[in-house]
Amino acid sequence: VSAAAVLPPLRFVERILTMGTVVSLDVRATERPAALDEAVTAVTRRLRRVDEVLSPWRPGSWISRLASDGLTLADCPVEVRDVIRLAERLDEVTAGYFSPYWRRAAHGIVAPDPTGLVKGWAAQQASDILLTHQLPNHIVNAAGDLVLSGTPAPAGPAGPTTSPAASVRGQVRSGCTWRVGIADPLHPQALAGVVALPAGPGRWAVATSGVAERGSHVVDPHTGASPTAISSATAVAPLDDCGAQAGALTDACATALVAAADQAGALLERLGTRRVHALVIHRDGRVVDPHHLLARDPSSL
Amino acid sequence: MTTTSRAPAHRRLRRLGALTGILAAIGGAVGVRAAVTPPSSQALGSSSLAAPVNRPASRVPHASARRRHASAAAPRRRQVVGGAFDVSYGVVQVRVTLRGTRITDVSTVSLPRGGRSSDISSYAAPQLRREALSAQSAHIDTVSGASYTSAGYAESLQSALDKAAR
Repeated sequence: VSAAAVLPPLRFVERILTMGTVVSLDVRATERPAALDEAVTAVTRRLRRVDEVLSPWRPGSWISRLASDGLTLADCPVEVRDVIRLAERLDEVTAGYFSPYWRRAAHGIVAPDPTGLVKGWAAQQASDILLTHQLPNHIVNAAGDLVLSGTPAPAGPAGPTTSPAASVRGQVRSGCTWRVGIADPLHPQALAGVVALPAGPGRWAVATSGVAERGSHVVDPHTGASPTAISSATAVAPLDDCGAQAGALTDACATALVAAADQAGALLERLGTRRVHALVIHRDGRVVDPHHLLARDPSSL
Repeated sequence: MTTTSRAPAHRRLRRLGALTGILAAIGGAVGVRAAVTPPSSQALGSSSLAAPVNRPASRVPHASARRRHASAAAPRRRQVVGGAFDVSYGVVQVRVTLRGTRITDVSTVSLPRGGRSSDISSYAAPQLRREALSAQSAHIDTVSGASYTSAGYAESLQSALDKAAR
């Protein structure tokens, strides 16, 4: 019996500190993948580049220079143009509740800023890189915005991982479901519940936005106000065709739902027609979850 | 449209204990790679260890964990405080805790909205804390939540990482 058949599935977790936050790569495999280090290096390089180009916090970034130096999009590298175009499309998808212009409009500046979708977009970029390194089973967690790929408990080359030792420890799971805890915005160290997503050959994007960690800095682009009625919003979408930008899509939709406040119900329905399923948790604790994403008792799963 | 009331407190996943203890528990199971200047050759080290799903490596003497344990010579614990950055609504300053070259915690020294800085665990880098959450539960693969990414937080964290790399 090979070692791979005896050991339970392993997770190889790497944290990358960049973009002012933490991005985790959680690779699942039955043994240490040969390409892991190379893949992590490639992702680190890519995320650093994303930060240098797109960060509104860095004075020299293209996004900053769009505002400070009077540049136009035509002056920018293609990846900047792509992200801003994507942001403008998401403005339409979200009925204007996500806008690449909302942050700077508050300061009287008319220049685009993709904040609100970059983390989800970057998570998908990282996942793409892991796939090209033959690491199909993984989670990329970009400060709460996720891409989940493949299966959490891949079977080894000698078959499923059902060692007696693993069974005793209760570690054997079906391997066919990702379980994503949703942080409770009202109780920072608790979960509001769990979203279970079928694992398989495809990928999922999951993003949460809200006021839990940073106070209210989501703005309704229609009014310029910072609504606080919704404490957090979580959006989920399948990432199943190559051209789709589900990472950015879910990130922007979650942000838009927080901005939409008392209009969030209508926006939830609108997004549902575009294969984005979402839930919102109100400041008073009320949960609106039209697609029944949230299992309320995580321990029962 | 479905509206439900929240589950009572006792049905929520149980709260975590002291943050530091948990981070210490998972600290051996994860690697940290910092995207800092100077470039990676001089930056904080990186490594990754295998751990069975949702179990801290320290509790399972897996082969690679044993190897590391044997070779690691009690890395020094140190803390680096980043610069204080004035944002429009207050001052933000973070502290990074390292064990050797491994980052085990990111917490805040100063945050706006005064009076909460004593409650550091509720503001510690959200992802580190969430990984602690998922490591605590065999039923959770990861955690999604809103993140703390204000300009001041990002800049103070970066400056702490720059200091740590020197």
